[in-house]
Amino acid sequence: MITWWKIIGIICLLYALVGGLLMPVPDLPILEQSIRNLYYHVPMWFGMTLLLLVSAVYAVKFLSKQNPEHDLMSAVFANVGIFYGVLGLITGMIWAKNTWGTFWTNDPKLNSAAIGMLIYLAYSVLRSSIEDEEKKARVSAVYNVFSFPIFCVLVFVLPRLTDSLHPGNGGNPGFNQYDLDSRLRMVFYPAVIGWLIMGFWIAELTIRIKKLQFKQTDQL
Amino acid sequence: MMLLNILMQMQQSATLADASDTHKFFVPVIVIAVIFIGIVVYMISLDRKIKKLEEKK
Repeated sequence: MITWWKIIGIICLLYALVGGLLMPVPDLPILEQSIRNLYYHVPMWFGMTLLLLVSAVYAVKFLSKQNPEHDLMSAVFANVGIFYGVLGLITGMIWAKNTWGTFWTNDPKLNSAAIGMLIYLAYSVLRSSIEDEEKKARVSAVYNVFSFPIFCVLVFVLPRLTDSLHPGNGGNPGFNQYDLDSRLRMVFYPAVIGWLIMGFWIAELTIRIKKLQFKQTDQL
Repeated sequence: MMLLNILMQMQQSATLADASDTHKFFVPVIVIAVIFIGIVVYMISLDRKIKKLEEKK
Protein backbone atom coordinates (compact mmCIF):
# COMPACT_ATOMS: atom_id res chain seq x y z
CA MET A 1 0.00 0.00 0.00
CA ILE A 2 1.09 3.57 -0.54
CA THR A 3 2.23 5.38 2.56
CA TRP A 4 0.03 7.65 4.66
CA TRP A 5 1.78 10.91 3.78
CA LYS A 6 1.04 10.39 0.11
CA ILE A 7 -2.66 9.96 0.90
CA ILE A 8 -2.61 13.21 2.92
CA GLY A 9 -1.01 14.95 -0.05
CA ILE A 10 -3.61 13.62 -2.51
CA ILE A 11 -6.48 14.73 -0.27
CA CYS A 12 -4.95 18.19 0.31
CA LEU A 13 -4.37 18.72 -3.41
CA LEU A 14 -7.80 17.52 -4.50
CA TYR A 15 -9.37 19.84 -1.93
CA ALA A 16 -7.14 22.75 -2.94
CA LEU A 17 -7.63 22.27 -6.70
CA VAL A 18 -11.43 22.13 -6.46
CA GLY A 19 -11.79 24.51 -3.50
CA GLY A 20 -9.51 27.02 -5.18
CA LEU A 21 -12.00 27.30 -8.03
CA LEU A 22 -15.23 27.17 -6.04
CA MET A 23 -14.56 28.98 -2.75
CA PRO A 24 -15.57 32.65 -2.58
CA VAL A 25 -12.66 35.11 -2.92
CA PRO A 26 -12.34 38.82 -2.10
CA ASP A 27 -13.32 41.00 -5.05
CA LEU A 28 -10.37 43.30 -5.85
CA PRO A 29 -9.76 45.64 -8.80
CA ILE A 30 -7.25 44.48 -11.46
CA LEU A 31 -6.84 41.09 -9.78
CA GLU A 32 -10.53 40.14 -9.88
CA GLN A 33 -10.96 36.37 -10.24
CA SER A 34 -7.26 35.91 -11.05
CA ILE A 35 -6.67 36.14 -7.28
CA ARG A 36 -7.36 32.38 -7.38
CA ASN A 37 -3.88 31.99 -8.84
CA LEU A 38 -2.73 32.39 -5.23
CA TYR A 39 -3.73 28.72 -4.79
CA TYR A 40 -1.75 27.51 -7.82
CA HIS A 41 1.14 29.86 -8.56
CA VAL A 42 2.36 30.66 -5.04
CA PRO A 43 2.53 27.01 -3.79
CA MET A 44 5.00 26.33 -6.63
CA TRP A 45 7.46 28.83 -5.11
CA PHE A 46 6.80 27.71 -1.52
CA GLY A 47 7.30 24.14 -2.68
CA MET A 48 10.47 25.01 -4.58
CA THR A 49 12.01 26.78 -1.59
CA LEU A 50 11.24 23.92 0.79
CA LEU A 51 12.50 21.30 -1.67
CA LEU A 52 15.72 23.29 -2.11
CA LEU A 53 16.03 23.51 1.69
CA VAL A 54 15.79 19.71 1.91
CA SER A 55 18.39 19.50 -0.86
CA ALA A 56 20.75 21.80 1.07
CA VAL A 57 20.22 19.80 4.30
CA TYR A 58 21.21 16.59 2.49
CA ALA A 59 24.23 18.39 1.03
CA VAL A 60 25.35 19.25 4.60
CA LYS A 61 24.68 15.66 5.67
CA PHE A 62 26.78 14.40 2.78
CA LEU A 63 29.67 16.68 3.67
CA SER A 64 29.67 15.50 7.29
CA LYS A 65 29.14 11.74 6.69
CA GLN A 66 30.35 11.21 3.09
CA ASN A 67 27.40 8.92 2.39
CA PRO A 68 26.78 8.76 -1.41
CA GLU A 69 23.07 8.19 -0.76
CA HIS A 70 22.81 11.69 0.71
CA ASP A 71 24.41 13.11 -2.44
CA LEU A 72 21.83 11.34 -4.60
CA MET A 73 18.96 12.69 -2.47
CA SER A 74 20.39 16.21 -2.49
CA ALA A 75 20.64 16.17 -6.30
CA VAL A 76 17.14 14.78 -6.86
CA PHE A 77 15.49 17.24 -4.46
CA ALA A 78 17.30 20.12 -6.18
CA ASN A 79 16.02 18.90 -9.56
CA VAL A 80 12.43 18.66 -8.40
CA GLY A 81 12.84 22.14 -6.88
CA ILE A 82 14.04 23.49 -10.24
CA PHE A 83 11.06 21.82 -11.93
CA TYR A 84 8.68 23.59 -9.51
CA GLY A 85 10.53 26.85 -10.10
CA VAL A 86 10.05 26.58 -13.87
CA LEU A 87 6.33 25.97 -13.33
CA GLY A 88 6.26 28.95 -10.93
CA LEU A 89 7.92 31.19 -13.52
CA ILE A 90 5.53 30.16 -16.32
CA THR A 91 2.40 30.52 -14.17
CA GLY A 92 3.68 33.84 -12.84
CA MET A 93 4.21 35.12 -16.39
CA ILE A 94 0.66 34.19 -17.40
CA TRP A 95 -0.65 35.94 -14.29
CA ALA A 96 1.52 39.01 -14.94
CA LYS A 97 0.28 39.27 -18.55
CA ASN A 98 -3.30 39.45 -17.30
CA THR A 99 -2.79 41.87 -14.41
CA TRP A 100 0.31 43.95 -15.15
CA GLY A 101 -0.16 43.75 -18.93
CA THR A 102 3.14 42.12 -19.80
CA PHE A 103 4.76 38.71 -19.43
CA TRP A 104 7.91 40.12 -17.90
CA THR A 105 8.91 43.42 -16.32
CA ASN A 106 12.30 44.30 -14.92
CA ASP A 107 10.86 44.03 -11.45
CA PRO A 108 13.34 43.18 -8.65
CA LYS A 109 11.25 40.18 -7.56
CA LEU A 110 11.08 38.76 -11.07
CA ASN A 111 14.72 39.33 -11.91
CA SER A 112 15.82 37.91 -8.54
CA ALA A 113 13.72 34.81 -9.14
CA ALA A 114 15.31 34.46 -12.59
CA ILE A 115 18.82 34.78 -11.13
CA GLY A 116 17.90 32.27 -8.44
CA MET A 117 16.78 29.82 -11.12
CA LEU A 118 20.04 30.37 -13.02
CA ILE A 119 22.03 29.61 -9.87
CA TYR A 120 20.32 26.23 -9.60
CA LEU A 121 20.58 25.54 -13.34
CA ALA A 122 24.31 26.12 -12.92
CA TYR A 123 24.18 23.47 -10.16
CA SER A 124 22.84 20.95 -12.70
CA VAL A 125 25.50 21.94 -15.21
CA LEU A 126 28.19 21.63 -12.55
CA ARG A 127 27.03 18.13 -11.64
CA SER A 128 26.96 16.90 -15.21
CA SER A 129 30.39 18.37 -16.00
CA ILE A 130 32.37 16.41 -13.38
CA GLU A 131 33.09 12.79 -14.27
CA ASP A 132 34.51 11.53 -10.99
CA GLU A 133 31.58 10.55 -8.72
CA GLU A 134 33.21 11.46 -5.43
CA LYS A 135 34.52 14.79 -6.66
CA LYS A 136 31.14 15.58 -8.24
CA ALA A 137 29.36 14.86 -4.96
CA ARG A 138 31.71 16.98 -2.88
CA VAL A 139 31.92 19.99 -5.21
CA SER A 140 28.17 20.09 -5.85
CA ALA A 141 27.38 19.72 -2.14
CA VAL A 142 29.56 22.74 -1.30
CA TYR A 143 27.97 24.70 -4.16
CA ASN A 144 24.51 23.72 -2.93
CA VAL A 145 25.19 24.84 0.65
CA PHE A 146 26.28 28.27 -0.60
CA SER A 147 23.56 28.70 -3.23
CA PHE A 148 20.57 28.12 -0.93
CA PRO A 149 21.15 31.17 1.31
CA ILE A 150 21.91 33.29 -1.77
CA PHE A 151 18.67 32.11 -3.35
CA CYS A 152 16.74 33.06 -0.18
CA VAL A 153 18.32 36.50 -0.02
CA LEU A 154 17.60 37.10 -3.71
CA VAL A 155 13.98 36.04 -3.59
CA PHE A 156 12.87 37.01 -0.07
CA VAL A 157 15.12 39.83 1.12
CA LEU A 158 16.34 42.02 -1.76
CA PRO A 159 12.92 42.60 -3.42
CA ARG A 160 11.56 43.79 -0.07
CA LEU A 161 14.18 46.53 0.15
CA THR A 162 13.22 48.28 -3.10
CA ASP A 163 10.07 49.12 -5.05
CA SER A 164 8.34 46.13 -6.54
CA LEU A 165 5.10 45.36 -8.31
CA HIS A 166 4.94 41.91 -6.82
CA PRO A 167 2.62 41.51 -3.80
CA GLY A 168 4.39 41.28 -0.45
CA ASN A 169 7.40 43.31 -1.63
CA GLY A 170 8.66 46.88 -1.56
CA GLY A 171 5.84 48.20 0.61
CA ASN A 172 3.25 46.35 -1.46
CA PRO A 173 0.74 44.45 0.66
CA GLY A 174 0.84 40.66 0.52
CA PHE A 175 -2.33 38.65 0.14
CA ASN A 176 -2.64 38.23 3.91
CA GLN A 177 -3.94 41.83 3.99
CA TYR A 178 -6.97 40.92 1.86
CA ASP A 179 -7.62 37.77 3.80
CA LEU A 180 -9.90 39.29 6.43
CA ASP A 181 -11.77 36.11 7.36
CA SER A 182 -9.00 33.60 6.60
CA ARG A 183 -10.90 32.20 3.64
CA LEU A 184 -7.83 32.42 1.41
CA ARG A 185 -5.71 30.64 4.00
CA MET A 186 -8.18 27.74 4.24
CA VAL A 187 -7.35 26.75 0.67
CA PHE A 188 -3.83 28.19 0.43
CA TYR A 189 -2.18 26.18 3.20
CA PRO A 190 -3.58 22.80 2.08
CA ALA A 191 -2.40 23.70 -1.44
CA VAL A 192 1.14 24.36 -0.17
CA ILE A 193 1.19 21.13 1.86
CA GLY A 194 -0.28 19.14 -1.03
CA TRP A 195 2.17 20.40 -3.65
CA LEU A 196 5.07 19.95 -1.25
CA ILE A 197 4.08 16.32 -0.66
CA MET A 198 3.68 15.86 -4.42
CA GLY A 199 7.26 17.13 -4.83
CA PHE A 200 8.47 14.70 -2.17
CA TRP A 201 6.64 11.88 -3.92
CA ILE A 202 8.19 12.69 -7.32
CA ALA A 203 11.62 12.95 -5.65
CA GLU A 204 11.10 9.65 -3.79
CA LEU A 205 10.21 7.79 -7.01
CA THR A 206 13.22 9.26 -8.81
CA ILE A 207 15.56 8.30 -5.95
CA ARG A 208 14.25 4.72 -5.94
CA ILE A 209 14.70 4.38 -9.72
CA LYS A 210 18.25 5.79 -9.49
CA LYS A 211 19.11 3.32 -6.73
CA LEU A 212 17.80 0.44 -8.86
CA GLN A 213 19.93 1.70 -11.74
CA PHE A 214 23.03 1.77 -9.53
CA LYS A 215 22.37 -1.79 -8.37
CA GLN A 216 21.97 -2.91 -11.98
CA THR A 217 25.25 -1.37 -13.10
CA ASP A 218 27.01 -2.94 -10.10
CA GLN A 219 25.85 -6.39 -11.13
CA LEU A 220 26.95 -6.06 -14.73
CA MET B 1 2.59 31.21 -27.82
CA MET B 2 -0.67 30.42 -29.66
CA LEU B 3 -1.79 28.34 -26.73
CA LEU B 4 -0.92 31.13 -24.32
CA ASN B 5 -2.97 33.62 -26.35
CA ILE B 6 -5.97 31.30 -26.37
CA LEU B 7 -5.56 30.75 -22.65
CA MET B 8 -5.45 34.47 -22.04
CA GLN B 9 -8.53 35.14 -24.12
CA MET B 10 -10.33 32.43 -22.20
CA GLN B 11 -9.27 33.95 -18.93
CA GLN B 12 -10.30 37.44 -20.00
CA SER B 13 -13.77 36.31 -21.02
CA ALA B 14 -13.99 34.34 -17.80
CA THR B 15 -13.22 37.38 -15.67
CA LEU B 16 -15.85 39.40 -17.53
CA ALA B 17 -18.53 36.86 -16.71
CA ASP B 18 -17.28 36.31 -13.13
CA ALA B 19 -16.23 32.70 -13.44
CA SER B 20 -17.82 31.05 -10.43
CA ASP B 21 -21.28 32.54 -11.00
CA THR B 22 -21.57 31.27 -14.57
CA HIS B 23 -23.71 28.27 -15.32
CA LYS B 24 -21.97 24.92 -15.89
CA PHE B 25 -18.83 26.22 -14.20
CA PHE B 26 -18.81 22.96 -12.27
CA VAL B 27 -17.94 21.07 -15.48
CA PRO B 28 -14.29 22.20 -15.80
CA VAL B 29 -13.97 21.86 -12.02
CA ILE B 30 -14.94 18.20 -12.28
CA VAL B 31 -12.69 17.79 -15.33
CA ILE B 32 -9.71 19.17 -13.40
CA ALA B 33 -10.50 16.81 -10.52
CA VAL B 34 -10.72 13.83 -12.92
CA ILE B 35 -7.41 14.71 -14.60
CA PHE B 36 -5.73 15.09 -11.21
CA ILE B 37 -7.12 11.75 -10.01
CA GLY B 38 -5.86 10.18 -13.24
CA ILE B 39 -2.35 11.51 -12.63
CA VAL B 40 -2.47 10.24 -9.03
CA VAL B 41 -3.57 6.77 -10.16
CA TYR B 42 -0.68 6.73 -12.64
CA MET B 43 1.78 7.76 -9.92
CA ILE B 44 0.48 5.04 -7.60
CA SER B 45 0.92 2.43 -10.34
CA LEU B 46 4.46 3.72 -10.96
CA ASP B 47 5.10 3.45 -7.23
CA ARG B 48 3.97 -0.20 -7.23
CA LYS B 49 6.01 -1.10 -10.31
CA ILE B 50 9.15 0.29 -8.68
CA LYS B 51 8.34 -1.61 -5.49
CA LYS B 52 8.10 -4.86 -7.46
CA LEU B 53 11.50 -4.18 -9.05
CA GLU B 54 12.96 -3.45 -5.61
CA GLU B 55 11.61 -6.73 -4.20
CA LYS B 56 13.11 -8.71 -7.10
CA LYS B 57 16.62 -7.51 -6.29
